[in-house]
Amino acid sequence: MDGNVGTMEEQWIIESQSGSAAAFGQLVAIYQGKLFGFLLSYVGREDVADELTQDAFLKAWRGLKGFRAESRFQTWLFQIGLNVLRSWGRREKIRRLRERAFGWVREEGESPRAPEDTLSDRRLDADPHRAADARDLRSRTSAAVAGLPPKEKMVFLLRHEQGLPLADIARVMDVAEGTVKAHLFHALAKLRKNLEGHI
Amino acid sequence: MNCQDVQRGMVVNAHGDSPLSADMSDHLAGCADCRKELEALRAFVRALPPGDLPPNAFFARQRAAIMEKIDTAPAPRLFPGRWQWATGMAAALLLGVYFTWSQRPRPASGEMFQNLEMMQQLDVLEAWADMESHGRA
Repeated sequence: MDGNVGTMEEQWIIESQSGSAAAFGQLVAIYQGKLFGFLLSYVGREDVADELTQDAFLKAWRGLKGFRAESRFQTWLFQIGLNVLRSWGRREKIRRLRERAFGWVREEGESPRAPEDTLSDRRLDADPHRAADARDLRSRTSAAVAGLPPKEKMVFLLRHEQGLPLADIARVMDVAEGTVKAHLFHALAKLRKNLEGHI
Repeated sequence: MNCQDVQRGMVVNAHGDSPLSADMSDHLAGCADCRKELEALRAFVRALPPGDLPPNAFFARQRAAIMEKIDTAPAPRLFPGRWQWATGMAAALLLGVYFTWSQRPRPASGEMFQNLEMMQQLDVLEAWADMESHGRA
């Protein structure tokens, strides 16, 4: 982020803390893509990621006075996003258990889509072969990332897709930096193994 | 640093946006295998496709939805949720009641023994008075 945007961001944070929804709208515009991208990569469903993103921003708005600028705004926002994600994960777990226990059937349109279904078909290259290859690689990568253990997946997405430094990831996840490093090491090793021959 | 330490530590530098530590640089300068491994890791990370995001119209709609929710939500507060205040006040009130009750004046133990003796003497006097009245009758 360049200095100008940084200064403007600080100003928007101060104005938002004083109750300016317009200033908060600017912060939403800067960070919604990043937060949504992270949540989408994690949950693999656009509708769910959209709902969680909105929820996280609403919580951020309500708790904005508690933001002390001890960390970057993005780190603070992602902490909220992660809490929202965890709550959703717990609800999903309970829902799945309930479904399994009572044999409930999903209604049409509710079925979860594989990440590859959600993430594909958007960036179509002019060359159909290249487009197919790119789609294939995206689909394989999404599947490989989706198959990582939750913490490794989270660290990988925050590092690779959001470009957060390890120290910020540690803060977002409330773990030691060494733990983040270990998760990233294992995540990359597994991805390399799973995508061998494709990358 | 041995090769295993270096290869575990190089994930920090896989994205190429962090400088190598002095220890790692020293090791890499003399270890072709680790140099090769770092290059392979960086090439792998570069080749990973970026996450796919929806078109801008999606974000415009999402932003509008967030702003609509914010318009109906209360402005930022230091302690969100009035129940937290209510719970705090109730706890403070209970503590106050307990403190007042625990500080109430109570007779000292010596005083209590004196009172007991006095009551026993009264019992003796009452018994004597009963005997007297029976004797007269």
